[in-house]
Amino acid sequence: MLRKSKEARKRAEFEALVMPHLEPLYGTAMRMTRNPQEADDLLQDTCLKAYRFLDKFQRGTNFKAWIFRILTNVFINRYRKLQRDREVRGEVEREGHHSHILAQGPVRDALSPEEAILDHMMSEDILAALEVLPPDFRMAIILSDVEEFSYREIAEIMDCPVGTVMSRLYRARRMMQRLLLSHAQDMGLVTASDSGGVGEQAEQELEGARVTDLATYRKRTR
Amino acid sequence: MQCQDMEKFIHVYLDREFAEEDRADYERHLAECEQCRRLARFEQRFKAQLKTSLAYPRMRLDEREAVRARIMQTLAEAPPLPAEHGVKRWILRLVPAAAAAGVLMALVLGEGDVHPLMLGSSLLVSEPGPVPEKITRDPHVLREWYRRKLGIAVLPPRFTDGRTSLVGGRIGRVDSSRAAHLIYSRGDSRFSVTVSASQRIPSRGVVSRRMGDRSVFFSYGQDHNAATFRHHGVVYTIAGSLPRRDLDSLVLDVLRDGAGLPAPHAVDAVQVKAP
Repeated sequence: MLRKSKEARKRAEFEALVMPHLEPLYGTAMRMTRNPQEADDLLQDTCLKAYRFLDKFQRGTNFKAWIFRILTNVFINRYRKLQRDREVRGEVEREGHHSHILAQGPVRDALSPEEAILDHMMSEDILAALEVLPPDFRMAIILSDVEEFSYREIAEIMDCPVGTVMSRLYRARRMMQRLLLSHAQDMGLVTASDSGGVGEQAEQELEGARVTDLATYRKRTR
Repeated sequence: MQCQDMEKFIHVYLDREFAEEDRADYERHLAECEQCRRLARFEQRFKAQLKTSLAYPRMRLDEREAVRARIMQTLAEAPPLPAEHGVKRWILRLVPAAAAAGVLMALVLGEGDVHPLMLGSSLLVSEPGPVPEKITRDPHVLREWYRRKLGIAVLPPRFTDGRTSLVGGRIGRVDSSRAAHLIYSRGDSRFSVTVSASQRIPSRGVVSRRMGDRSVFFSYGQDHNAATFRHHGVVYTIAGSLPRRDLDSLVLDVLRDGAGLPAPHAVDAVQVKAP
């Protein structure tokens, strides 16, 4: 009887903590899994795990970041298991693979085609572009642009250095822009000859460095 | 200052991640450079567009309530943590992922913790349930218990590494069939052996290897490795945080028992008629 009421109290506490973040959690699960059933499973697993480890959560700290970290872990573990046949490929190779594919397409650059992207792209085009990104990049975009987590929070959630967050976000946004530009060209909205090269060089440098940080910024600009 | 140096940090600037000093420095450049200003305007609009397009539509109240209710039900049914009452009472329900019918799944459990496990393209989760359990170290007690419960007399395999011992058995599920789920401890960790009368064996997303005269299907994950194989007319799955080499030797132990090298505690999984 006593135990029961203790469990009930714990559930009530968990409910109070999780409910304010239900929509962001569900929305992120939907964007990552692209399937309502899987999103629901992901959310259930995340909540069960969070509930079990609730005593590890330090009261007064950022619960949203904490539970997003669990969501990310559960998702990545599932995804990795689904992609087991690709397990030998590390992140670097995976990223390189995607950039290679994307680099074959038109390169974003001169500002007029970029602006054409903004003028013509539709939400469904953006969603479609997001789906092409590797999961780490997709997650970084959602955490930053939709959920507005700070780089430091994203680094914690994704369990990586802040520099990796910066580099993932940079490359993820560039990939999406390229995909959208390519799509705009296919639709005849922009001509391929408008493409240029400034961003490409920066991207190559970023890729070479793999990880950027603010010290790099200061060194380069001072 | 080179524009290409600035361009790399445009998102850091727009995401408001620069310290005050760096931001001021960046803005000084923007004030001087029309091209970078245009880029910044474009990236700002692009970010706004991403937020608008990628934000998931607000849930209806009834949807929200349904999701809340499912979560709370999952928690209410979650087995208590072992630390709180000493007896582990989890039970297994193996849930096939949406489009992955016909794949054998297994689950290994730690101390009251839940580890969803993928085998092939299916997901396994453990859930609490009303199914009874048996915790014993006596393999013969387990065998009789399983015979009553499942119609399969399962004598738990004995392993030869000298540090593996049987913790107990439970009822699990493989696809829609009930299965024997045996739990072993090995040093500080645990692994499971699932024995089912399933006719199905995973073939997608797993690595097939020949061991002796058998095909053994391995799936290697971040935290768990698993091996599945048919033996004595039933399907075995060994799963756990086991190094690959150790998993191989556990598989060989089970296969050897039935491959004409009978050991005193040989595997004896015989399918009998369901009650």
